[in-house]
Amino acid sequence: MRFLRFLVLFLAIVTLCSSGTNASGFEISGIGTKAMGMGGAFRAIADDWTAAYYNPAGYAKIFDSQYGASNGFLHDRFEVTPNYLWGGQYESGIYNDQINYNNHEILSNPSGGFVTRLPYFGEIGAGVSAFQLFDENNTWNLYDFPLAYNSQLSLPNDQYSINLDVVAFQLTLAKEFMNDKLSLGIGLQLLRADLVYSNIYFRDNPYEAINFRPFEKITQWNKNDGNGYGFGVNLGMLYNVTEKFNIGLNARVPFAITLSGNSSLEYYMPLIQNIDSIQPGTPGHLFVAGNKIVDKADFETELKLPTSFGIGLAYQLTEKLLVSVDAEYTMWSNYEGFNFLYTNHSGLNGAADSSQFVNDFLTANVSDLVEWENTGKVALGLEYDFNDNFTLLGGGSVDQSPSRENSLLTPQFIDTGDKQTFSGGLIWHYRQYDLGFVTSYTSYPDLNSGDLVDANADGLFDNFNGFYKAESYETVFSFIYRF
Amino acid sequence: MKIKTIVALLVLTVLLVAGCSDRGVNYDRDVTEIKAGGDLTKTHVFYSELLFQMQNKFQQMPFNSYWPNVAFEIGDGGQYQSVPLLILLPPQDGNSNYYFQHGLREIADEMIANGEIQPMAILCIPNDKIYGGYFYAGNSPAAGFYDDLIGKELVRYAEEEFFVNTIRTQEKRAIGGFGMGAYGAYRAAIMNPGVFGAVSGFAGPMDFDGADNASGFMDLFDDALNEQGLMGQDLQNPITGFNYQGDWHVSRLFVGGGFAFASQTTGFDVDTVTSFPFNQLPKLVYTLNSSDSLPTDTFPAANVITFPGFSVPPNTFENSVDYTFGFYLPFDSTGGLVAPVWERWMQNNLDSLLADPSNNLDGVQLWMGNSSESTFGNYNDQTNSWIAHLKNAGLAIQTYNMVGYDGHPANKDQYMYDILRELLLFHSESFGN
Repeated sequence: MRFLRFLVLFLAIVTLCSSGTNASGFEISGIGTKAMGMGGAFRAIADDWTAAYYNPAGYAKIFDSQYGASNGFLHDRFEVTPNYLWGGQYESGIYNDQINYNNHEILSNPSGGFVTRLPYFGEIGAGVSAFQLFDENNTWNLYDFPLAYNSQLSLPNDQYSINLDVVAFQLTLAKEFMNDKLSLGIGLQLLRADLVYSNIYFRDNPYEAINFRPFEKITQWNKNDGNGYGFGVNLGMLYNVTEKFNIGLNARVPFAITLSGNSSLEYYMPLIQNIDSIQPGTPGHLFVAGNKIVDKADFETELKLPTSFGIGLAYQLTEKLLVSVDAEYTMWSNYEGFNFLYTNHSGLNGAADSSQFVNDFLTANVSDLVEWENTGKVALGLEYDFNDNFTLLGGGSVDQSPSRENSLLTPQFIDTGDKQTFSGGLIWHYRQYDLGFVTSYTSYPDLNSGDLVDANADGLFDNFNGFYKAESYETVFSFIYRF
Repeated sequence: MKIKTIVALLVLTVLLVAGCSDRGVNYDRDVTEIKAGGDLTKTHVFYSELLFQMQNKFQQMPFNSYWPNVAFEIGDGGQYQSVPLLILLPPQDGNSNYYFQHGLREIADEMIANGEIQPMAILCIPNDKIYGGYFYAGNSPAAGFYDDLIGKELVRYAEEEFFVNTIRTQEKRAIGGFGMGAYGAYRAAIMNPGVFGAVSGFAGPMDFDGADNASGFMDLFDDALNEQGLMGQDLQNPITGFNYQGDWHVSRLFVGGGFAFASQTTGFDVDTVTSFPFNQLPKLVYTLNSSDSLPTDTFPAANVITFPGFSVPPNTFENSVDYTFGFYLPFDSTGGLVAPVWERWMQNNLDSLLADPSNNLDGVQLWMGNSSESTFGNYNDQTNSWIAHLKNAGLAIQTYNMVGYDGHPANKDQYMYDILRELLLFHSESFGN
């Protein structure tokens, strides 16, 4: 017992003091108020329907029926002071040397589930639930054409944006073994991914006659809107070492999802007046006439999601106080970004269609690739039963950033480094209801992302360099009804 | 408990309110602060200077001008406010839109609005294959009489007939250019002492024979022949000989330079021409192609190039036939130096012009930009040589070095957009208060 106490205390100290671990790409921060209130350290507890996410084995320990739902309201407050200069010194049109904010949005993260017991194989816990496994939502307005590039066109406000949701519809089954000391659970997931992704690309101007500054790069804005289905598995184990001490393990294995949909490839061409030598109707005229050229296409890209493994320890320190510690390892190196393949082009006409070099330019595939590292996360949670009506929650976590090695950030994925989350809340037990409220604050370290990098040498820069600051607020409301 | 609960709820409320406030929308430029200046395309007729210029039927020179808004505001004396004047000369084949196509108007607007530069009027004239004017030099009918035009008549026109009032002092007049325009700007400043208070240039043909007196353009003789595939061929063959119309920039450089420095009409006095009665003009022009009235005795006949078929101003010469212009190449069909012709070129080299006691750069502020990545015409080396020459002559000169970035070297006019800012800054400072 002394060893267990020591172990819990040790992990708690590691959690609070850690600076070498951090955040997890676009994985959600969690679901449910109890788990969120305890910093996500819930694997070894897993005693409500949200165990479907944290540890499916927990369903074996839920002896009543219940349904519940939670909704997280997330507000990301990111800012970047870009240093996006060609060659480190020439203006690109990006809003350099000023603080820019992501668009003001309050994001919603709903989830819900139902748990009951079924008389199969003796008796098993079973449930269905729906929740987001992954979520990323950012929109930025960071660019205007360089002075004299084209004063007659304007870009949409969602210049850089992502709305990526991966929702799991999960069937969870769990059963006790070894005289109820061991529980095993499995969650079978149907995954639905939705992606709306826009990005600005600065393509080298292929028309050499006018590829001098500020026309040396053509402004291209792509918006891709699609979805896809896939499968995943969530495996869990819960072991009661003693009456007061539990160990939980889980592994989430989402398989790759092929996303497909529609794309709009929009080219904002330079406006250069009085060039008599370039006649209308010629390919060259497309590059000086100042028009927006739109190519409609179908797209396909593969979304490779990371497998993650977690372990949790929970110890009933006193009659009222429960302490839990979790650790998670997520294999973000599996995620490669997006490689958009475009087919079924339409909308181009005239020289844009008939000229081979122009057509090749306008219909080119683009890659938004990343080189991410695997990440670790540790969390500490406290649950204090204040009285019969109220339970107080507190917790914190430290996550690693998957881009901590190369610091290559894009506006769509802001993860500046080891981030620390602090959360607190309460649950009001009213008759058969548990009504929960939790709020959390995530602090990101400042990051100076150095130079523009073209990691895959495709002529497009893979990062958006600048000085980043970030913080996030999240508030979760939930209810559980037991019957 | 109640107090603690209330405090906790208050803290959470503050967190929520502070955490969810709207921080507004990102903007780049506050465009409302930029008062747009203007640019205007116009044409002026230079009656004597361009009377016989190739293909210039009406002696016209189109120009574009930029003027700041302040020039249209009434000053203390009840007159429109006067502003300094900057003349910009484009590079080889650049027309009067050249600097505007590189963002001159927008850049000037922004810099004036931001207080980076003082308001100034900017006059841009052409240098293109239609109207000639290569090197902004020469006193021959074919090339145009640009020495009279740039430093004299153009300034007079700008000050007396321009749309805005300019300040008519040396300090408030300036001239600049890029490439061949850099040469033209310095040439005009040197040959017109007291006219311009500042001169600027970027990477041009500033020293024809280079620092070692054996490079510069001399290294390009072979290039001109090779780019046309004419090494060892008959240059005078009207069909397969030296071509002046193709996109061979090195060749055209020597064609333009030939007309400017070693025209077949060299020594021709325009005042004499214009004094002739109208009905004698055709005959006079006809004689331009006859060897008896030309100084061909000093040039090898083998390298004179004549171009029949240049259109003649119809109103003036409509009865003329067999009218041709000619010039002498400074190299022969094997790329060898033709010394008598090259001597004419070197007489027009900037260091030669500056050595003439009647020329000087007294009271002129100097700026010269360059790029080691410039490849055309050995302009990089020529410019460095000129900078060294000025420094050796004890003249103060501001220098500027332009470097490009990966895949986009600072060659030719790739960075004119950025050079313009530096150039305008220099001239604004040179204009003084």
